Amino acid sequence: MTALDAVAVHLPPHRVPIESLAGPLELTEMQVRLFRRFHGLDQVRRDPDRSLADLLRQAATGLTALRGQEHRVRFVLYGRAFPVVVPYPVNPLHDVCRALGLGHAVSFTLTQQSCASALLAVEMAGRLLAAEPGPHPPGGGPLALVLTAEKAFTRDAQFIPETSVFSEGASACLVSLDGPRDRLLGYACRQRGEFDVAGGASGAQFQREYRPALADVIGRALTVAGVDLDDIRLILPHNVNVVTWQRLSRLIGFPRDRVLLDNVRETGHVFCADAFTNYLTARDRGLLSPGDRYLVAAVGAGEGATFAAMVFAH
Amino acid sequence: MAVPSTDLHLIRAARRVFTGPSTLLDDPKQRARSARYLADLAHPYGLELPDGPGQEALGRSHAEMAEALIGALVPPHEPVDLLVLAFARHDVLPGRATATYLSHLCPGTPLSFAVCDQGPAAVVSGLRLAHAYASPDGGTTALLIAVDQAVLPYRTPTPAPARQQAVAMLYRTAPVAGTEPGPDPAGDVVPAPARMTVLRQHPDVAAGDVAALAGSELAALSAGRPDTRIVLGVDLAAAWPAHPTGGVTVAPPGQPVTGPWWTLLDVLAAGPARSGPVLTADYDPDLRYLCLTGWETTPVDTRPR
Repeated sequence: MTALDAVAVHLPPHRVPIESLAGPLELTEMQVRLFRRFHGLDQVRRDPDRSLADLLRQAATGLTALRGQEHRVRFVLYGRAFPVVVPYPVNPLHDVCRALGLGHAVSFTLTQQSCASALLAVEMAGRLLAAEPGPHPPGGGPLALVLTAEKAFTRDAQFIPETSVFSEGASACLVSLDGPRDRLLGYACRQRGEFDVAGGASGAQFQREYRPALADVIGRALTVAGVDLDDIRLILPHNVNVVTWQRLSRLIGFPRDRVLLDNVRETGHVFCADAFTNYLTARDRGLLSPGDRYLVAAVGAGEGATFAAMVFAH
Repeated sequence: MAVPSTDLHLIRAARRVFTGPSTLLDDPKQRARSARYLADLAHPYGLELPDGPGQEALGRSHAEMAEALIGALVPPHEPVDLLVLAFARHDVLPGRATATYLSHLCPGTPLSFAVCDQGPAAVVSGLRLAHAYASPDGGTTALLIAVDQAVLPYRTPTPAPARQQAVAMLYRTAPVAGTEPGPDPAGDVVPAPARMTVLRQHPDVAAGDVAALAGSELAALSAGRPDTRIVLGVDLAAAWPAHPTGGVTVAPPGQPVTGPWWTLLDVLAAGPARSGPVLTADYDPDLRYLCLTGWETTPVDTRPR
């Protein structure tokens, strides 16, 4: 069973109040006020002096459980929201893998599910490991490293109009098949390619269907996992904004205080890294006890839409 | 690193060379959006875009290529479970979640994503992911689409592909009886039923080591089968000047991502007496992957249907 053996996150230390984004993004005072008062957003993290490769490296080197286990890593999957982030053939993923002693691993990027790409990467990491020929010694089985990292390098990567603002950041997650903690019980993904902007999709229709579609995929993940919503101790949301999750909680009948929304104010939306940022916050605050079921949700939107959810046992 | 014998069957494939510019980029809004993205992408790396970026480099978008092949290959009554888009050089609409869009167009609304940042090895990884995703109980259908993007708006250190072309391959976990022609049998579709027998990816192989490793791998995989036919990627052939020639077809130059697969389809479909094993091997001198796949062909049912 797919398990998360260890998680690390790197967020740039430099905090930028959302008011400072108004000029560069040509936001009106009203739009900024909407972000702060209605959506619960406060600041983002940025580091103009660090490259994408720097972010990837920072996250991976923070993963202390990786040290000494590099030889077990068969796959490195880079789950990325933005399909193209460097000019061809610049390849920070392979540069960082070589620097980390992971040149022997099969490494590639999974993308085009926007901010849901990280959950896809975890799911596919587990499936790739399961397809590896065995047997493996106890505690010595193959591993996969799931990375995320994004720079706010272009306007579309800096904010979502009327909805959210992006922080730069990165995460690293070590995935195994036999780890004792955070076992994946179920994954569901529903894509809505009809919301493709280049294809002329209606933003209004997307807004109408956003929460029902997210509720639907949460229900599917619970079904796959074989658990009820009542069994879920905590939801780790995507940090798009507070109001979306307040309304979604009401829609699915889940207590609002069991949706971890603190990081919306702290960081805004950190692309694919939200799941891992929120996981560490939950763990650090003791919000999860052994055996607790928790649900991670992500929505990739902007160019088509991908709704995804995972259920884990802590 | 190897995937053992699998139950992934190539059912049929479609391929096409695309000419002319992207129709999507006829839209000034799309052009402006793409131009802005590409300018922001290139700026930190000191790359120069043409004046009025996006005005001159109007390549075909990945979606346009893939959409055409889906229409030719997958009839509405054949739902697909998984769609993987593999590429090396990025799209002319760089911000678009093309795979998600394609999910909407493809019968079955499959789980869809792109594999990239791995050069030509991304296609083999796509195949590997399809194998990993496939249910051992059978019934899974996967569509793997590989694209060569010839047009980028900045100078690259390696030559652009000679042609904009795409290859789409439809796989199932169980073989089909006879050959299903697909919606467009007279055009782009190649009936090439074959079972994938092996998939191996060797990362970080130095150029000086690739000839020996490729030689030993191909010898091992074809042992006892003198009728084995081999497709070599052009970059592997260049890195291995003394490569064998008997039963070997070298993919034509200029199509780093799609070339070996286009040639594989030719080999799988060649001749009325086609049968027996086929191996592919390719090497990427930049990212240093040596990848091999093996196929056991099955006879084509040529009876009138």
